[in-house]
Amino acid sequence: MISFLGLGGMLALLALGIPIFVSLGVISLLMIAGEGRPLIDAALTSVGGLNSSAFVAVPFFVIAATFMQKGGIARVLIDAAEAWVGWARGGLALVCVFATTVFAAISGSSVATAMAMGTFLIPSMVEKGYDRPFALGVVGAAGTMGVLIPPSLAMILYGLIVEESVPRLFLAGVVPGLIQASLLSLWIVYYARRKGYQPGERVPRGEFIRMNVAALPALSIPIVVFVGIYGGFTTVAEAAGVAVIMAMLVAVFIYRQTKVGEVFGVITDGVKTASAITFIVIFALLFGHWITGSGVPTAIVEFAINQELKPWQFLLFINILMIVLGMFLDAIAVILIIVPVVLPVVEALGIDLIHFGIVMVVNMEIAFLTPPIGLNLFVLSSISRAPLTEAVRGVAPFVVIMFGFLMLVTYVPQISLWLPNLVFGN
Amino acid sequence: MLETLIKAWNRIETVIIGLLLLGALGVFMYGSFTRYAFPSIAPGWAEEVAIYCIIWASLISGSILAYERRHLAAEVFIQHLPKHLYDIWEKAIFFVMFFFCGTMAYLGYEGVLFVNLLDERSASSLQVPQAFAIYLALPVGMVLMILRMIVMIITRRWAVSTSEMGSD
Repeated sequence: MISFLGLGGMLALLALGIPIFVSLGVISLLMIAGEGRPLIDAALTSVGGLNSSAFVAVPFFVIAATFMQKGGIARVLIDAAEAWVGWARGGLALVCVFATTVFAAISGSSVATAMAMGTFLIPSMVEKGYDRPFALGVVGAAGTMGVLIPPSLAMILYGLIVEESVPRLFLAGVVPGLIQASLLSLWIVYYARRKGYQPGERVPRGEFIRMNVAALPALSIPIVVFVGIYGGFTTVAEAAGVAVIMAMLVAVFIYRQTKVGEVFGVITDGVKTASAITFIVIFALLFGHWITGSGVPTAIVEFAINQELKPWQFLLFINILMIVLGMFLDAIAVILIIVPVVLPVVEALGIDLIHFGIVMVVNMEIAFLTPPIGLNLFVLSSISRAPLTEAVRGVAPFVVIMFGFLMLVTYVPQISLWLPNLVFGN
Repeated sequence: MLETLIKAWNRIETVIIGLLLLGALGVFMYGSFTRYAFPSIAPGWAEEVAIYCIIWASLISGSILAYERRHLAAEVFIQHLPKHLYDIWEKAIFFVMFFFCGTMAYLGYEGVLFVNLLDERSASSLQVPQAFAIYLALPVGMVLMILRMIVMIITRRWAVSTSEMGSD
């Protein structure tokens, strides 16, 4: 009972605006001390948990994403996507989905993806006569694919907490990512027809080739990362290191949007961004240390067994919980708080941890779009100088689509598991 | 005078975290490259050293994040407070964070002494004492944050609400 009060207390501290790492830390320390367990051991567990090669990938991918965001990579991907689908009705919105799908395969971060794409595409779409809320919605919803399409920071952190294979998690995100892109495209085509948006012009063959060739250096980054990981040449962390080096070279020497003198600044900026996440991870590990020994997960497992809870009921409950918490808390924090609490139940109900990871990530995508704390909403509002309410209105139909997509991913595990099982076996 | 000192402090910390990250990247990629290309000279400690560098870079960055108020928080409810209450509440949060960092610095320090007593070392040929390579980063990071917060109190930066604050 006291442990559940601790959980409630932590949510209260979070709601009171206390930094997430402090909220996690304060409650964990108080509860561990109250249970008479050694506090020094807890402190050691938290920082010692970072001593993992998977953790190396976090700052590397964040820095790679920062280079991509500032290095002109978004622009060439947009040009290439425009050559392919820009001629269709609602073409620029489709360009956004196509280019974002590829950018997401490089960046690993939803916010970085929305920012990089939105900076170019929102003004262009508005200029071509698209409704601004629609343009905001397209960029916001497509941007969330940054965490679903591998490599994904969220998946690395989830893998770190549940000790699951990150390459397997990455593969599990591919098919859902493509389905999400298709669903968004279908809505865009329908909406563009309804609104009577004019189709664009086809790009001449020479220009088509030039645009695609220009995108090759950018496209080579995800290809090298994927071949490295799945060809067995590199670990995830090594692939992240390669991504940093390639993104830096491409940004500085090929697209020349980042000057040599700016490289150090981009790196330190990336470290700071990654560090804000790392602080939460450190104290989420401390929280996990407390919760594991607190008896809360055991009590939840017993409750689930006594109530004869079915996996589908549990997953429905988790989805509702995640959506509610995701409205108010940072999406990464929600995953790091919820997963250690429910992990034993997930295992007891026989739910595949890879599948559960993808369900968590899709929930996280929705959290990026739902007010009042949808990070992508703030990004959209800030880059387009539109009121936040307009961004909320713009993403609303896409959030409905995402709810449907979440149900699909939740109740058809094969969508997530087919590819990793095909590649790695069961 | 104090402003010059703070700027120098910001610069030094930024340079340190940048160098640590570059060091981590360099050592890590060197280790990976030699493991494939020249296995006979591949160091067995590259990944381990990269992890140390990243842990230290992350924990040192905490100080700059505190100064720039960039530690993630959910401010959705307190944003609706009247201005004077919001300002008071932000100061209260500041002190909660201050005391929490103090507690963690103490526990981290005790942890370092304990691990050092056990003489826990890395498995690689370097045999690095883990007390200093990993665990010391926690109290050092926390002490740096505390020092930053003291400076923020002295310069009254702590009294400026997050929304009015730019990062310098």
